[in-house]
Amino acid sequence: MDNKKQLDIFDLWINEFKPLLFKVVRAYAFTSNDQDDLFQEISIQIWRSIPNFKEKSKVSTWLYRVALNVALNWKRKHKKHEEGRQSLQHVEHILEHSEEEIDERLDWLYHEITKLDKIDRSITLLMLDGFSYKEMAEILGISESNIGVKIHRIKKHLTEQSQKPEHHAI
Amino acid sequence: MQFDELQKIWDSQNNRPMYVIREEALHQKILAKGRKAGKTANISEWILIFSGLLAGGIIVVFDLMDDGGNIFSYIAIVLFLMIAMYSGVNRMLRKKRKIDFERSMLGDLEHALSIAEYQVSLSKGMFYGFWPATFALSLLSLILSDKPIWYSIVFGLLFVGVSYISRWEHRCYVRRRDELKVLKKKLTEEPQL
Repeated sequence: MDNKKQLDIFDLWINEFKPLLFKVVRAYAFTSNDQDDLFQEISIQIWRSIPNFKEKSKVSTWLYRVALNVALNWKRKHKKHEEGRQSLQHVEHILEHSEEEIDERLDWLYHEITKLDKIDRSITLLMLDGFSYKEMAEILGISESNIGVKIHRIKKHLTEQSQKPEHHAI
Repeated sequence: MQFDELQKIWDSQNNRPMYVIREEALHQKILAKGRKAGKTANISEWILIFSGLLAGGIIVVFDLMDDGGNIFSYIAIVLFLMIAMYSGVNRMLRKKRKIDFERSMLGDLEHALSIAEYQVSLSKGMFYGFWPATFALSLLSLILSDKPIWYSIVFGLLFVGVSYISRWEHRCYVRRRDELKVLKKKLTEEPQL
């Protein structure tokens, strides 16, 4: 595959599926620098994965698989920036926060998701984005029945959290 | 709040992207990072190959200066050359290896875990066996060859440095392996309802 074609597919995927990628980034990285770094890592792996995509699965399934695998193994390489050893002014950012109004309820939901462990976070993202048990089993590599049990537990947990008195404003 | 309401909150973001991507900068970063990753692997592999050849070469030169070495120096030469060969073979295998994007999350974890296990056993072998043996042989060879004492002191200090790095490397691999084990356990465990 030539570079031009690969770049065209890359741009198409990034533009069409950016909400999916942003969700993974926001669920696994917390500061702006880390979100930027994780997005770059995911983008690089997506770029590399393009020649391997054989259209056996949907693009969204493929991208989720790549993005979640990267997020799970992602290390905070830019920790040194936070420690002030290098000026943040020299870090070139890829992501800029959009000017959309912040939804407090969505913020709260992300906050709850980030409190889950890494594996449950993946399952939660897939569940909320409407993937079937079969697709989730394919992405995660575990049985559908196991997924069913985990989802039941996550749903119960999130619902209980939302019903706590301190979250009534949400 | 019921789960349906949480789902509606989640879906509300689909038409409101939370970030704007600077596409041109992204393209440049991707191409640059791809090149950098290859370069880093290349440099570390060449350093290992070169170090093995250099260390082995130095002992050969010492042996030649002394009109022949002793059994310890010959074994040390072979061991250092083995390090260089091992690094060369690893480099060839890396170049042949195709990145596998077909794996599931569990497959990816298992793959990473098998690599981590291999790295742990290799670094353990290096730290407890290979390096001490190689340095002991080289040191014995130096002592027997009537070289000035500072040769042995420098060599000893070098051994302490390499041991320290080797121990640090081993601990990093162990930490990484344990992290992966926890993730795999978490993914595959059957939760109780």
